[in-house]
Amino acid sequence: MSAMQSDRESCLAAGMDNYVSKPVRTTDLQAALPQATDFSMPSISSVALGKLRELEEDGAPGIVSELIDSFKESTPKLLSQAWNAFDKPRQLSAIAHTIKGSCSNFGARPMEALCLRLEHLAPASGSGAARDLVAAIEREFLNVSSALEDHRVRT
Amino acid sequence: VSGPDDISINLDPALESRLDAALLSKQTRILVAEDDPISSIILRTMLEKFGYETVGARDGGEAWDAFNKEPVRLIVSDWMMPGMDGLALCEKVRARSQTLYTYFILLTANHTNAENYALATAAGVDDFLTKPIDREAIRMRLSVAERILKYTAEIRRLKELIPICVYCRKVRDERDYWERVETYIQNETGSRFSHGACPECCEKELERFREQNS
Repeated sequence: MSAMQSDRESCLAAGMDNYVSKPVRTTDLQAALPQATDFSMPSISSVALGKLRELEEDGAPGIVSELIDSFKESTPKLLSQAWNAFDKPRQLSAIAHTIKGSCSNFGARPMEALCLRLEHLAPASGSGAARDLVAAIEREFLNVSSALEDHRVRT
Repeated sequence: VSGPDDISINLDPALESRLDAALLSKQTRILVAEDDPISSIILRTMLEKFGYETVGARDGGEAWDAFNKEPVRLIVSDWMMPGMDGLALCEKVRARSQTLYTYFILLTANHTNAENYALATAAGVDDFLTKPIDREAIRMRLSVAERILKYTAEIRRLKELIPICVYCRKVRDERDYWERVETYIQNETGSRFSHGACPECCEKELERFREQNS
């Protein structure tokens, strides 16, 4: 077992979620971060959904369902635009910004964090990192969608 | 990342009803410029529940077309939108001639930095709200907007031409009633008159008095 491997083992044994060795390389960190956001918090926040429910109590029945439908309809369109925008960093950043705003209404923190990272990804960092992020956002979108469906069924 | 969980504001019912009263002209139309459909639905639903009429636009260009065709007094706009962004929209609104003052609220991300706030203020933005939108936060901002719009309307009325009758010198108020100048000024400004006579009139009146008594 190499020194690094044993370091990792002892870190994980101590209760850490992941391990990045120093000197920190951007690619290692980038690989570690999505995992961290994936596992450390729920896909959507019940507090945020509670606030949306208040709108229903205010006399807008069915609004939460309407929002979920709208989110599930608009996000895949934006994601497919993102898949075609790797050569247009500014457009990609704008798409990430829109998705971020969209999912933040449901308190979808992990998805929001991934979008924020894509939004601020330096154009110079190449499309490899951007592709990984879009793929991660897509995966997280599925988590958010099923969490929202759960919520819809429960209420 | 801070989010909706951190900015909730709970109001007691008494304060809430006072805020409602402050939103005086409930029929005010608000232009909502927002490219994200989710945020747009939420925002417009909130505003409509407060009693406002809303007009939606999916980007700055669409918002500008709507405004240019039929100006509104209140705009709530996202900053980053495809095509024309929120700042460019605000600049165009400010530059439009013969337009009543429009209160412009810009939606920003919660990590917006000071430099960007300065940029937005310079573009003519009146107020900021962070996304995701908090219902109580926007309600309070709207009451401020209403107050300021009310004052701009008053100032404009005072600066405008005041219609006055050439014969009796009565003045027409905004409800089309003809009032004495004293009443009008007192209603509009709160100033009161202390009555006296100017030297010229004093001389004339004195002469009339002497003639009557001679």
